[in-house]
Order: sequence, then C-alpha cells, then structure tokens
Amino acid sequence: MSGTPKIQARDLLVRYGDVIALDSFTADIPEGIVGILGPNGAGKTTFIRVLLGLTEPQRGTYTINGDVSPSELHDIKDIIGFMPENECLKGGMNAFEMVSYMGSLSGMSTNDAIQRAHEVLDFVGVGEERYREISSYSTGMKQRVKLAQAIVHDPEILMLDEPTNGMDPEGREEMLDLIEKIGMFGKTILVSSHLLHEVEQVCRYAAIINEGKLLRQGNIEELLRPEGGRYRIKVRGSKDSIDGFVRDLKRDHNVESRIDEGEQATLVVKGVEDSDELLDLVRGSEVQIRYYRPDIQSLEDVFIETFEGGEYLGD
Amino acid sequence: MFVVIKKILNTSVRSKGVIVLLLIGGILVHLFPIITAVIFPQEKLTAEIMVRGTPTLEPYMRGELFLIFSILLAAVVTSDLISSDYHDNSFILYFSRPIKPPIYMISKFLGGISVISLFCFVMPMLFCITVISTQTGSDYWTSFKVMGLTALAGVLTTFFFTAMGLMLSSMTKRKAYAGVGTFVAFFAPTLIAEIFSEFNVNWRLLSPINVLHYTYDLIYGYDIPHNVDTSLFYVALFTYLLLPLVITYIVIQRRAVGK
Repeated sequence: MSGTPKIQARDLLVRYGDVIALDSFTADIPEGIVGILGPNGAGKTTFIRVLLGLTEPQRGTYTINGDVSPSELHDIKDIIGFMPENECLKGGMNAFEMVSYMGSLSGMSTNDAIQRAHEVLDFVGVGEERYREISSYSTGMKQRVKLAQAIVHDPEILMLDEPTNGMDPEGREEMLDLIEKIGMFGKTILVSSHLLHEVEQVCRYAAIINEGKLLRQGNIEELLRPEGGRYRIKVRGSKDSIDGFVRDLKRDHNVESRIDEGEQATLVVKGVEDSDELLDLVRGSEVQIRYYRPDIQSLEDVFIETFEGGEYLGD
Repeated sequence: MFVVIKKILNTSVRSKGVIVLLLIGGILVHLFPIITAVIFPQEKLTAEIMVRGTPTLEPYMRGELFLIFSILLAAVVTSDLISSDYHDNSFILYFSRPIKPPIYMISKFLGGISVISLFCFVMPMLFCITVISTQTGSDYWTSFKVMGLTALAGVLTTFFFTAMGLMLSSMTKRKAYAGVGTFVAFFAPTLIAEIFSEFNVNWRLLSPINVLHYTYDLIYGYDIPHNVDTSLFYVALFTYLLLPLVITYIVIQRRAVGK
C-alpha cells in the first residue's frame, strides 16, 4: 500500500448483545476502489456503519481522510456518500425529488441540488423515469437511484454496501461499470460485497473479513499472486515417464495436484524457488514440457485459502 | 434544517387529509366565528371571548371543535414525520449526512409546527384581527393585549399537539399506529381522568386536554379551579410539553447511533 491510508481502523470492537460484530478489527484502507469481502454476517456493514458514525464502537478508534477522528466525523460527513444495502428510498417521491432532496440535506443550495440531481441521474442511467414514483421502480432502477443519492454531493469517499444486491447479471455489470467510472475521478470507494468476482473486477485493493476480524488485506494483484512459488506445469510423455518425473519432483517440491489427460498431465507444484532447477529436472526426464507458468489464483481461491488458514491479522 | 421543514410543509399542503381537515376545520372552527364577529361586532377583543364565550360567540380557544380538529390535524400531520423514515429505511440516509439527531428531531418538530400552526396559531390570529378591525369600542390596548395572549396560546397549543404527535411517530414504523396513537393519547387519559376525578380532583391533570384548558385560563388571566393543586398542574404542564420531546430524542438517538 502506498501513501497514507484514507481510512484507518484500530482495534474496533462492536457488540450487539452477545453477538460480536467487530472484534479487535484493525485495517488500513488506501485510496482507490477497495473491496470489503466477507460472508454474510462477517461485519462488513457494521464496519461501514462505524465509519459513518451510525454505530458507536465499544472500543477502538478510527480516522478518515488522514486525521479526522470520530468526534470530528460529523464535520466531514459531506465528503462521504453512502449507499445502503437495504431499501432506503423515500416512498411517495420520484427519483428526481429524492436525489435533489438528499443533495440539499448534504448542504447544497436548492438550485445546485436540482442541477446536480439531473446530472447524476443521467450518469447512473435513469432517464425520463426520474419523474415516476420510486415505488414503481424495478430493483435495478432503485439501486441506481441509491447510487445517485450517494454521489449527488460529489463526495470524496463513497461507501457502497452490496451495491449489486438483487440486480440481474446485466444490471450488475452496468453497476460495476459505474463504480469503475466513479473511481476514475480519484474517489475512494469502499465496496462491501460477498460476491468475489465483482470485487476482483473493479477493486484494486481488498480486505477480507470474517467474524468481525480482518483476515487478509492487500492489493488485488498481491492477493492473487501465488504464494510460495506455486506453478502450473503441463508435461507430455508416457505414463511411466510422467510417474517418474512426478516422483523426482516430489523429492524437493510439493505437488498439490495432478490431472492426467491421456499422455499429458497437468501438475500444480508449490515451493518452486528456482525455475531453472525445475526445468533441469524436466530435461533429465523423459517428459516434454508443454507449458510452465505461475499458477494464477482467483479471488475465490484466495478467499477459500484465507478462510481455511483462519489466522487473523491484528491479533 | 430548513430543507426538512420545507419538505414537510410541501408534502403536508399537498396531502388530501391535511387539506380536508384544514378546510372543514377552518370553516367550522374559524370561519363561522369570524363571520359572526363581522355580523355582531364586539366592543373589544376580550379574554372572555377567547375562553369563556359571549352571548353571540362560543368560547374560541376552549371550543370542543377547536380541540377535536387540532388533535385530528396533529394526528394526520405528525403521524408520518418520523415513522415513514423508519418504514422506508430512509432514516439512515439522514444520519449518513451532516445531520445530528437533535437537528433531525428539531427539523421534524418545526416541520410539524409549520403545518399545525396554520390551524392553531394563524387562524386564531385572523379571528383576533377580524374582531379588532370590527370592534365598536376604542379600547384597542386591551384588544391588542388579548391578541398577544392569543398568539402565546396559539404557539403553546401548536407546541403541545406537535410534541405529542412527534413522540408517537418516533415509536412506530406504521403511520396508522402513530395517528391513532396520537388521538388515543389525548382522549384515553381524559377518560381515565374523568372517572378518577370523582375521588380526587387532581386526577383531572392526567388529561392533556384539561391541562391545556387550565393553561388557557392562566394565560388569559383566569384562575385554574381552586381545588386543583397548582404545583401538580405545573408539573403536568411541563410533563406534557417536554416529556414527549425528551422521549422522541432518546428514541431517535438510539435508532440513529445505537445508544
């Protein structure tokens, strides 16, 4: 992570009765689009609520934008935009009224709020429907209006709680595109989601949390980069020669998996520190190498691996 | 704050329920006395006209219709002030913005006041102006003094009904419950007060309506019934004025920041 974190959380504890929502939660959130990953009930929404001052932690502290502490949070709320997970749009209003009202509540003048409401509704793709009552909107439309109300006052930091909730695949893609576009304006965007491919698609940084604790955080590329020199090798040869090669390989390396396909086998090898050493091994065997490359993980793999590891950061 | 007040005022004056109540109530409670005052000009505006009545005019502020329509209007206007924000979950949007719970509460309260005052403050003032402009006597000093007292009584009445309605609106997600609750909150204690006042007259102070009427008496220079404990009356008055707002604040604070 480069530069000062945009948001820092230290040792946060939030309890709802007997349930611990955040447990010694410590995280550094950099600028850019950041994914907060975790299963339902992991503490993602609670973390966002704490940052918004909607839930008061029993312990710990946090800073936003470098040096703004919880007691000063109220003064900088106009630089924060929030899109809640649940339905939150006012009944009996149309999208234009709703968004301009929210702009006014954020401190904009009536004229500015009206003008800006039109701009952001255009941006999120709500056309003439903006004059229709919100209760008649589809889920996708409501999600767009929720995003519009969050960005109407042009906040520096945007917190999106499950932004694609209830949307169809096409709508999800469009929502992710919008998030990416907003990110291009240099905003810090916190995207809370349990949908890993979404985070992988738009975020450049991710924090994985579970049971109120931070499991892992880092740049997406770093998180996806194979740990411990994991490589994928495809070799061709007779069954005996492949068996012999695997035997030799296992002496110094950990062969995680082997998939045989006729006279070919795909191996995932861990613990490769020096590729030359491995290639020498191939040369000395009777197999031919078809390809050899670092084993790229998906965020899902990282997620599962992290959960299996179960070690918490900040403990 | 002004944004929220303006929104409430705009929404209320477009609401059919509010328009109907303001129209019917305005005609029955305010227009008829105004017409009567024009037809039968008074010598001057007196406290008697406002709370005791004259041969030609019913007691203006203590009239039953004034009371019923005020309560109905308060129930309709305040019922969704806060409950609708819980219901559609927009409550969270206010507090994700630079709005603190006290400001939210005061905005909603003043929004309710801005509508209810049309009936409880503005129209009584119109009545006073009519009586003064048609009065036959020359004692304008007394008339303007009574008009000032009516302004005070109007403000107090508006405050009284709005605070109670706001409290009930903060306690439920359902507009209907809040509306009915407001109505019941005024009449149920009055019923109980009537029953128990047979044993002790101070039970009358349980009724917000009685407390309001005694307050009018005091404002216009009359005494409250001699067998009612004055200290208890003041306790009841401040309880009905302030307790609803304190409760509303606590409920909002708990919902907004979980404490």
